[in-house]
Amino acid sequence: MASLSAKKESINLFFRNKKSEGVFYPIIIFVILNLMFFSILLLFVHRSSTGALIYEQFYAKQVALLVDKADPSSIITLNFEDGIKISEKNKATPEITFNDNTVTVKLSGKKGYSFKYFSDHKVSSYFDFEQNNLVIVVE
Amino acid sequence: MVRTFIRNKGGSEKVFSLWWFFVLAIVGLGIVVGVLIFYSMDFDVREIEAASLYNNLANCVIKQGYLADNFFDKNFDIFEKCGLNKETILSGDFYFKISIFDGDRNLVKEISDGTRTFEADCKIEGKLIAKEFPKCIGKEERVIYYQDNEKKNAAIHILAASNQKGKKLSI
Repeated sequence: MASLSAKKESINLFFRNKKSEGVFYPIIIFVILNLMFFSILLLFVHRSSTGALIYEQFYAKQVALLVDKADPSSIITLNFEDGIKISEKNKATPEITFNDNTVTVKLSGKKGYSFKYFSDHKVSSYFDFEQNNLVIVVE
Repeated sequence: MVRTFIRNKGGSEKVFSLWWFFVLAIVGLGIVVGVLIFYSMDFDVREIEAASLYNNLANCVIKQGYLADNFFDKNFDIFEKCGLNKETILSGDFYFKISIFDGDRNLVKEISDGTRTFEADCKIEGKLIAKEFPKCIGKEERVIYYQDNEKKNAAIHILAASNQKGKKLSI
């Protein structure tokens, strides 16, 4: 009998005591809100660091510099794994065009980044999706 | 201890203080602004590009220590000889200058094209930190050339500059 009443009291302390409710729940809410806030911040930083714009700029400049350094009649193979992953994330196919001595890289399907190369070579490219490579043909 | 932490009604006010939200807002804003500034910055490849242009010019003008044939011809086309695209060089982002000096440091021939103001900018850029100024590579090398069937020694100075920053496309 005595043990039963003691048990009831302990249940009261955790679930039914109005005084404890007033302090205990705010702490949980406080911790959850903090976790949510910092999770959103981390997600924002992660999304910014793996955004299409950075990779578009990176690949456009890399391709232009490679074309400038290349000798005529050469084939350059560039690892494009990250670019393909970013495109898939943006539900688009990677696009690289060479027009008027300018290379344009599009990974998101909408925007893009362009960079000029000074070599007077005729350049074309295609993707090797099996090896995740970009093949640049310099004529 | 237990009384103050669990049963003190005033505890709730301490947990959700206005100051804490203020600190969160400042931290969040600081991180967001910092990340946006960091990732909106360009990869600066101007120096690499200037070096690439320099190598391109040097490799086609100097052949195994000798000045390229017909360099002194009036119709010597540096763009055709070095495989450079004239429109790109004249687009405003590039400059180059090739100067040949004889043994007495007299200027024998000079070829230059691109944005001519870069030459002065390069001199300033070498002395102080100027972010918007072009990046330049300038070097001098010894060469041999033939003039009127006579073998002569000369110094060739090649200056190459780039200020290309790339372009984000909006559509």
